[in-house]
Amino acid sequence: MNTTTILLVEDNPGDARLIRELFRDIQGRSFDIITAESFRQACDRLQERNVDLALVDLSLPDS
Amino acid sequence: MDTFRKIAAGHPSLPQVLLTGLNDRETAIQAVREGAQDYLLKGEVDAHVLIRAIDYAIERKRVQAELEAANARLQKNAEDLHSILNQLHIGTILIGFDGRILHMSVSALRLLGKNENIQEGRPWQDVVGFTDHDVHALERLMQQDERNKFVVHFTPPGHSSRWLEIDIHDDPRDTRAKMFFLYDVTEIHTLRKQLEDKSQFHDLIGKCQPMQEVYRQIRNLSQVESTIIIEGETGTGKELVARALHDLSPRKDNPFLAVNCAGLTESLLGSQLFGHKKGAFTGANSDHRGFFESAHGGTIFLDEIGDMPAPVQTSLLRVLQEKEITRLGESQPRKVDVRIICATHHDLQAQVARQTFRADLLYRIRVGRIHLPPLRERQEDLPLLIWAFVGQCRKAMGKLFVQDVGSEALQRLTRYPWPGNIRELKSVIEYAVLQCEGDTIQPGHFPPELLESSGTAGPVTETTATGKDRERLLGALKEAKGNRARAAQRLGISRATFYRWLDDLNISKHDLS
Repeated sequence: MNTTTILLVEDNPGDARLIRELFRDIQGRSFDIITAESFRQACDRLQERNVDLALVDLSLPDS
Repeated sequence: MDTFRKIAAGHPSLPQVLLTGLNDRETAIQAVREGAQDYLLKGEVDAHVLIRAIDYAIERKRVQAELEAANARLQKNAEDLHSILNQLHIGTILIGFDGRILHMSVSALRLLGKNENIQEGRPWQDVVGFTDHDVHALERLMQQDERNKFVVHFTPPGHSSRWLEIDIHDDPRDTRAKMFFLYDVTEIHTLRKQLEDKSQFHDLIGKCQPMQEVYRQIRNLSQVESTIIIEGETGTGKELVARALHDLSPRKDNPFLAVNCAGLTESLLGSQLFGHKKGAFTGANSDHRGFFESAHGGTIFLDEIGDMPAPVQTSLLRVLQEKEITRLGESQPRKVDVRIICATHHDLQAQVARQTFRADLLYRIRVGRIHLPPLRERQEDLPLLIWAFVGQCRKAMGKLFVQDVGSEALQRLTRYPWPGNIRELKSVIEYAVLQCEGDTIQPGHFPPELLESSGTAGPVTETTATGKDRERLLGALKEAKGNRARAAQRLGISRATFYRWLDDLNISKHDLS
């Protein structure tokens, strides 16, 4: 089964956890969730990995 | 928001879905306008919403990327296409449904003699510079669905006159739009015209020197009113010469009447030519207008004038001297304005000596003289005539599958003495085309007299070339641009004979290049 790699850019740990749990609830699909807490970190993750989609918090402090 | 923008700038192919609270929904909408795939309200997200948003986002981004790539390819293709079109000698004009020019290639501008580059947006009719007649013809062709071709002749200001072939296509992307492909056919046209000038004159076919002389005489004599005598054996085309003389003369819009004077009694020929009054002779039940009156303003062609009975000769002399005729049974002469062209296959001078033809009439009618050579003296025209008649017959008989004359058949035709001249050749070809069921005419398709003639004498001695043939051979080679098979075909000989001639005449390879 293909794994979809999601980059979650979220500085609020509670929100990040909520999203992760939502993904875990999705049956029959495999997700690889990598997280970043800032734009800087997001850039690093994007360098390291092939990412299929970014979920981006619209109200990050460094944005 | 800036995070989204910065990621989008660094990773344009990465789909982004935004997470937002209720209070910055407006910002999220703005981000979507700027290229984010979607936004999710944090408080309302559940697993179903999330997976749907993510799948859609990834899919949509992929399709968008493909679209953009395709677009870029198209853009590049369009640029390539234009540059290719511009380089070609073929001119291209794209015309929108409203008749305005969408694109005009550089080559089209050149062919139309335009200096300025910007023609786009103008109605094509205003740009091309063709005559109104040609523009209307093109407009009509554009209404039709199928592909059409049309040739225009025009002279762009400041340029030499030219012939353009215009190939009209539908634009495959929009059937209401049209594409013109322009080809410069000036050279082809000129060459073809030269060829036609040389080998054909009105309905006469032949390019040999004696025929060129005939054409020259026809041109000259057509412009004068003098009576003309055409001398030549039977079947050499005397009536065609008479018609050409008429068609080239200022009388061309008036009647041309041909009368054969042979085989008619004195009174019948007289009444045919000059007409008669009712009761002039037994069977004359009404007034009758003769050919001279009917041909008023035009030309009368008197064929076989040597066979004209003596009393009719006297009446004809009157017409020539007084320009008037008298109907049989009448006494009042009538004025006629008719040009007289005569023809004979007899030696009229000898007939004068035998006193069967009036000397004074002979001197009157031979003011202008045209001599038509017999076919046996026009060997080099034979292939031309054969091809012309084969072409006519296969069309007329609906036997388009007949495409060639075999080399042996050509040899038979070349060796036959043609006592009946071109008329006989034409009927032999008709016979052969009728007999032929394959694509090539063979000797077996000819009537018996051709097979009995010299053809059985064996090929070698007859096809030995003489000094006179040297010029013909070199001429044929030149015309065939060095192609020996075609040169042999033009000469009406087989390739084997052709090569034997080369030996006979000591023509070296050096001479051929």
